[in-house]
Amino acid sequence: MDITLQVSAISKSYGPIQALKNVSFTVPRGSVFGILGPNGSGKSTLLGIMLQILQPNNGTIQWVSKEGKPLSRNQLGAFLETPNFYHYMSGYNNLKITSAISGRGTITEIDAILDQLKLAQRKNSKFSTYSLGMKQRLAIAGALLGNPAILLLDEPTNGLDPEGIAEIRNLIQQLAAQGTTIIMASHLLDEVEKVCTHVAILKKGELLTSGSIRDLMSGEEIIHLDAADLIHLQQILQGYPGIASMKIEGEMLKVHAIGGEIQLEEINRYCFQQGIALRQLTLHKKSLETTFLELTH
Amino acid sequence: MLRNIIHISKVEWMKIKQYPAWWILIGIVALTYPATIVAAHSFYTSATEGTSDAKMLAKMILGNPFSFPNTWHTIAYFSSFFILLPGILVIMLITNEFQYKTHRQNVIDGWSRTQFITGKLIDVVIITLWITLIYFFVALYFGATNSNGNWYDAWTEFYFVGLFFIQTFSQLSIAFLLGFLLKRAFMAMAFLVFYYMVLENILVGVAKWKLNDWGRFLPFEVSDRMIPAPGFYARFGDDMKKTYELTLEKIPEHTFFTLCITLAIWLICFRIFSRKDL
Repeated sequence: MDITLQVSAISKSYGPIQALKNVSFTVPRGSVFGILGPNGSGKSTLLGIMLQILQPNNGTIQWVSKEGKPLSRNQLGAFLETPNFYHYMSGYNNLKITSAISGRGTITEIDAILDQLKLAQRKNSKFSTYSLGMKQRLAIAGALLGNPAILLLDEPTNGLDPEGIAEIRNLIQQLAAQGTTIIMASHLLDEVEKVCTHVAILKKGELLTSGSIRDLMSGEEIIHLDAADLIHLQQILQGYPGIASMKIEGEMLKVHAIGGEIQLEEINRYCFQQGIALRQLTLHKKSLETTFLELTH
Repeated sequence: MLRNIIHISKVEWMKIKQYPAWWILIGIVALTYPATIVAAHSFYTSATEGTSDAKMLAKMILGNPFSFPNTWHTIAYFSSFFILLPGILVIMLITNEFQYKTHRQNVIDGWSRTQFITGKLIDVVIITLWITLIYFFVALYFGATNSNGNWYDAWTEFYFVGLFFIQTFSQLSIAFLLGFLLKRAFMAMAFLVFYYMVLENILVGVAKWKLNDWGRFLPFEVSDRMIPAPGFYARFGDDMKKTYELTLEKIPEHTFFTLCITLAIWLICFRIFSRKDL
C-alpha cells in the first residue's frame, strides 16, 4: 500500500493524564481519512503531534512524499481547532502571510481561493470583523492555498451553516477525486461517513480501530424478520450458518449476521421450506454512528 | 542562512507594517526621545546662559554636555530612561502572537520553531535600530548646534552609539522575555514597569548596602552601568574624579555581562520554544 503518513507508537501525557497511548496506524495516499472519537479522546492532540505543534512523549510521525522521501512541509495544508489569524489584518493579507510562510500559492491563487470560498467581497475587511463561518472559511482557504498534496483539517464544518457544510463536503470530495490525501477530525459522523474512505477511532487516547470504512462497517449486518410465530421462527433459525446472534424485539426478530454470509433469498426459501411464511425480511447495514457507539461504549 | 533571515524578516515586516500599535508607538518614541532632549537642553540653557554668578558657576561645573564629543554620552544617558515605551511595543508583538494563537499557525504553516523565535529576535533588532537611529540623529544635531562649528573631536566618544545599541537591545530583550514567559500583555507590561521602576532599584540598593554591590549584575542595572551618568561631578576634586574614572573603566566589564545576560535570554527563549507544546 502507498502510504502518506506513518503514525508509530505515539504516546502523549499532560501531567498525570495520558492523552494518547501507543497509537499506531497508517494513512494511505489519496484516502479521505477520518479521525473519530468522543470529546477528550485525543483527536486534536494527535493532529497537533502530526503538525509538530505538540511534542509526543514517545513514538514518531513520518510524512512520506510520492517519491518515498520525507514530505516537504509546503505539500501540507492544515488548520487545527480554531482559525488563527492576525485580527488587525484583512483576510487577504492574512493569506499573504500564510503563503509567504508556507511557500504555497501565489497572489492570483489567493484571489481565486477567496472567490471559491465566497470571501472575495470581504477580502479587504479585517479578520476581527468576520463571522465565525467566515473565519472558518478563511482557515480552509489557508489550508487549500497552493493545492497541497495533503490536507489536514480539524472539524472543518464547525460554525458553518447547512449550505456551507454541503459546500465543504463537496469540496472535500472534489479534492479527493483529484488525488489529494485528506485527514480530518470530526464529530459529525454522518459527514464523515459521506466523505471518508478510511477512519481511525480513538477513545480515551487508545486507538480502538483503524482501516477502511467498508471493512469496518461490513463486519456485521442486521436482518429484520417478521412472521406469525416469532418463537418458532427463532427455533428453526438456530444453527443457520452465518448467524451470530438473534433476539426478539417487539414484533420483530433481529438477526445479527456475519457480514456478507447470509443471502436474503436463501433465508426466505429456508423459512418457507420449514413451513414459515415471512411477513417482512429486510437487511440493515450498520451506520458509522452505530459502529462508533458500539466501539466507544 | 542569510536567505532564511531575509525570508523571516519579510514575513515579520508583513505582520508589523499593518499593526496600528506599531506605528503609534514607533511615532511616540520618535517624538519622545528628541522632545526630552530638547527639554533637557533648554533647562541647561536657562541654567547656564546669562551673566549672573550662579549661571557662570553652573556653566563652569557642567561645561557643555551637548557639544561634541560629550553629546554622544549625554544623550545616550538621557535617552536610556525611556526604554519602557519600546519595551511595551516588544511585549505587544510577542503576546499578540500568543493571544491570536498565530505562533501555532506559523508553525502549522511550515515554519520551524527556530524560525518563529528568530522572527521575534529580528523584531527586537529592528526596534533597537530605530531607537539607535533616533538617538544618533538627535545627538548629532545637538552636537552640531552646540559645538560652534568645531567638529575636531566630534567622533571621539562615538562608541556610545554602540553602547546605546547594546543597552537598548539588552533591555528590550528583557521585555521580550517577560512577554514570552507571561504570555499576557497586561501582566508582562505591569511586571516590566514594576521591576524596572521599583523592584530592581530596591534590590540594587539593598545589595549595595549588604551584598558588596552584587546588584550591579541585575539585568537592567548592569546595562545601565554601560552608560554611566555624564561626569560633570568629576570636576569636584580628586575623589570625584577617581570615582568617575572608575565608572568609565568598568564599562567593558558591564558590557560583557550585559552581552552574557542578553545571550542567556535568547538562548532561554529558543530552548523553551523549541521544546514546549504550542
